[in-house]
Amino acid sequence: MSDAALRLIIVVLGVISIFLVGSLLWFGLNPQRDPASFPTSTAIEPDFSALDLGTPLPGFEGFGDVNRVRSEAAGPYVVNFFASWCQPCRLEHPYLLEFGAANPGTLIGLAYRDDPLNAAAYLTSDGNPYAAVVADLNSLNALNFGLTGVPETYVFSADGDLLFRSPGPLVGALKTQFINAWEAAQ
Amino acid sequence: MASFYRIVVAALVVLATITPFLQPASAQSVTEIRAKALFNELRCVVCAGQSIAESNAELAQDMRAQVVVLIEDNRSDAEIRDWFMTRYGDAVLMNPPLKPLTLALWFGPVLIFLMGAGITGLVLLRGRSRLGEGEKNP
Repeated sequence: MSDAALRLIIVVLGVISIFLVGSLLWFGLNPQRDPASFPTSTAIEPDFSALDLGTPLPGFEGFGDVNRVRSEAAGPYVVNFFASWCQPCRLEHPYLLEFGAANPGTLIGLAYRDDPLNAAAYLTSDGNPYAAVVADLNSLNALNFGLTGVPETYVFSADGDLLFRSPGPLVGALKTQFINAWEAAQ
Repeated sequence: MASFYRIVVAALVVLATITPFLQPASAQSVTEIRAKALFNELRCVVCAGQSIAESNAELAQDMRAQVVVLIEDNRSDAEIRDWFMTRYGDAVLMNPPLKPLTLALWFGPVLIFLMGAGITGLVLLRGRSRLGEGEKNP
């Protein structure tokens, strides 16, 4: 092989590898990216089969029928995991109250790893935004929804397709994305 | 007396040798063995790069409990992995499955190594051919 041809191949291969390694670093060293965060895509298939196994909260027994909210929702509906011990949940609580009042019969609450008494006390003191709310005592629903932490909010179409999920409190950018997803789903 | 000490020392040496190989009194059940293997295969979704066997996060505890429930429900290991994959996606497995989307993940490093080796080889080849030219035309 001639020297010029060899030289050309070396340069081309070199440029390609610099580009490959560079794009790897560009992705890997992005300060916006948190390598510890678990990918929360909407490509998962949540399992609704355990929703009726939730424990009603004392004083909120009338809100215990989660499946009725699901079946009676004419359009999209929202599932929100929360806990009375969860501080970020309190950040989004005022917005949840606002959302629940504006969209009656669409917001389902599931208390994660929470004593039903404590969850009930939280909703009594801070207000209940939910059309239906139960405690997920054995965490089966949390796993069925691919939960990665509280709070986490899921927007479902009327057919039960997962349209959007917010892996954190509905404030700032996540709140904007949630509102956009909710409005697009109407 | 000397022979007595000799027996005691011999007994101690034998004991010290076999102790590491002794099994704990309670034998592990099949469920326990399967659960432990699965714990090592499933990722703790709130930890950075830990399996649910290594983490004591609450969600990891929930996942471990569910693995045991599913084993006791007579599900196979593959069915249990699938159970978590439909709910959490491929990332819940410590070893991502081999499929078109993950090809770069599995073979990317090999590809980068081969390119490096190729470049090195070509540079060496070029150096050698130049050396040959140099001998012809000093």
